[in-house]
Amino acid sequence: MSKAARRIILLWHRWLGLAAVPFVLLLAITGVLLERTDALDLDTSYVTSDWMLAWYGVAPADDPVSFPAGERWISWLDGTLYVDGEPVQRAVPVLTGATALESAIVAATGDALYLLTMDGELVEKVAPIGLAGTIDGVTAGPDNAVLIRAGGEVLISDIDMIAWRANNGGAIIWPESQAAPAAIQRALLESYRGTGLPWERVLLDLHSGRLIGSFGPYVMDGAALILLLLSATGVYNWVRRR
Amino acid sequence: MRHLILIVGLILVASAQAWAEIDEGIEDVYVAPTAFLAATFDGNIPDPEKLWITKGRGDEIKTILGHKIGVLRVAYWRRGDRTAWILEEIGKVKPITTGLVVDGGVLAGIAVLVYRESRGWEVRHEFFTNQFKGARLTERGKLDRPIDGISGATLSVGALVRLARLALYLDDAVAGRP
Repeated sequence: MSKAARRIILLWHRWLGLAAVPFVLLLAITGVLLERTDALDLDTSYVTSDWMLAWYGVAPADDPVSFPAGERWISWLDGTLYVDGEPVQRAVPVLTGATALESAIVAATGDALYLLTMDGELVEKVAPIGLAGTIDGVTAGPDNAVLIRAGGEVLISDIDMIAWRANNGGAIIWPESQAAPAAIQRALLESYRGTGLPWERVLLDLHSGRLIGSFGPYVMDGAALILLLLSATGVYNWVRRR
Repeated sequence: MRHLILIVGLILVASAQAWAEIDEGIEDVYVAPTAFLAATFDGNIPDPEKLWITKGRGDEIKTILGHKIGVLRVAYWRRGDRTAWILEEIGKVKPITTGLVVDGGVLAGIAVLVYRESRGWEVRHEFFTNQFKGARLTERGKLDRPIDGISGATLSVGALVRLARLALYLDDAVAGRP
């Protein structure tokens, strides 16, 4: 091998060594910590940092939407329907309204109505058929009736919400979302976060590179490649100098 | 320094390539619920009826779904021995809205109406859903036939199998069959 080629390999060895430093430090530190997961209670200690929870998507992307309904607060946060801060149903689109009838509560999303008992138990999800548009308002009518506004039309039904007909009544006040009391908001956030992100998960993701997204492992693959090249050029330089 | 920049650059290019492969889930409406019901009942959709989920039923449904059904009653449409159900079950993280038709205790059809997951949408195709036609519930509450899965859609396949069992169970409940 020519002198110039040997010089290039030596040079690459140095730069590869420098590039490997952060990865070696990261792998060594996280590796040592992960070896002591039980002793350090890493699997039962949970992240409380807002930005880290947000990074993991554990923090909600949107603000909660809440409506007062009788003595209850009906809320939505990141796909979950809550009554007084307690989760009732997952995979629910954003609330467009909620109201208390005489004997039940009705919450509305764009394409469905959720009938709840006064205690907040979900009775049924009703998807009215043949509406002119999405539901953007719900309110209580006389005699336990339900009024909805969909596609500019106002429809009325009894509490079974099976048959809908046009409502020809007068002016209607549609409930609007309000900021829930601080205790409810706190309960929503705590329920949402739960015990979702243990420190062990964060360290594992740091170790594997997944902390920076699904492309993280490719970065760590790159680091592994650097270490392989470092080993190869190191061995070559050692052999050459003997 | 140029070498260091080159190394970091190569890593970033590889990362960007991988990032570009990530896709997001969207909601796909394959069949509108109204169209499904109209097709099931020859254009003349009966009024929906309600089946209350008593404690006993709730316990049996929990065995089928592996979790509580979460509601106290379920709507269905019936004419003669034929019932139609629009049910939802989560595949991985989002509900799959599915229309199921049961005729005298036999599954007559199953159709994915709305699919919201980012992967596994192949379950909507007839090559998969046709497997359910003619299925019945065994005494142990299982389907009387194996359903071939689809690679990459395991969770969605599982969700549809559970919904098929649930619809047959609910139809039995409506018909008063033991």
